[in-house]
Amino acid sequence: MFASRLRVLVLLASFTLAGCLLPLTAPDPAAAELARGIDNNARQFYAQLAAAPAPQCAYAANENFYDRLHREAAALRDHLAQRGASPAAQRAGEAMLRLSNDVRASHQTASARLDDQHGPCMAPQAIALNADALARAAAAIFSANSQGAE
Amino acid sequence: MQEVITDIAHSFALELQHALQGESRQVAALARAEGEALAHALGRIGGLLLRGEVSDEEAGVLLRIQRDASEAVLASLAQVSRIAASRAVASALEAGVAGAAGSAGQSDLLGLARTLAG
Repeated sequence: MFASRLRVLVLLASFTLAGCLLPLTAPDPAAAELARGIDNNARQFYAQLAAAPAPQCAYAANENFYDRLHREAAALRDHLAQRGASPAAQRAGEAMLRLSNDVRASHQTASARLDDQHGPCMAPQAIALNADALARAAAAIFSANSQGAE
Repeated sequence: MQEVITDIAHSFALELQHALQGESRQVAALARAEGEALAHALGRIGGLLLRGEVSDEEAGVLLRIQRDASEAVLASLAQVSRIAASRAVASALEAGVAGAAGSAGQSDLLGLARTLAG
């Protein structure tokens, strides 16, 4: 998964360096910054969550992160809409907001089920999958808005 | 299982390439990388289901998360290229998932993940 993410970033970088990208308007540093904030917070949170024992691993102990993630994703979506970003950019923002809601639902569902080997904690691979999904989405939005977009 | 995942990734790639016709090789390569990431994620979710580490409900949410992420990535790709973004990306994602599910003999994502796990 990390390799895939790295490959995407390397390809995006080479895309720009090769001059194949034709920026259609100026970059949107505010959107890039919001996406980077989401990425940084998510990375830090999931790294801690992976090492947390019960009951610190349970959803109830981590609700604040999801509230914050939702606020940040909503801010990104609203920013793109207010700036009149392209339909594609706004679609990416909407997808990020749905993602923020779905990772919360994932943790809630995992913590509600206590009769498995992980108890109230999420399965480690599920944590990794969610972390990777957020990182993939945030990195793509960050790159697109750093380089200039339609 | 790795062969099936490779087939699924190939199926995603074909659908995405179709949606990205006329785009540069770089954009197509990025789309392919995302298709591969999605296919591998499906396999991992299938593994979690098989081992009983997640319930059907949890697996369904995990699948939704991966689709959200792919949609954000592909829409961002559309943003930096000139393709008519939302419709093309949506149809690529839908067709890719449907095609992959069909080739695995399953009618839904959860069934597909189970097949990958098996």
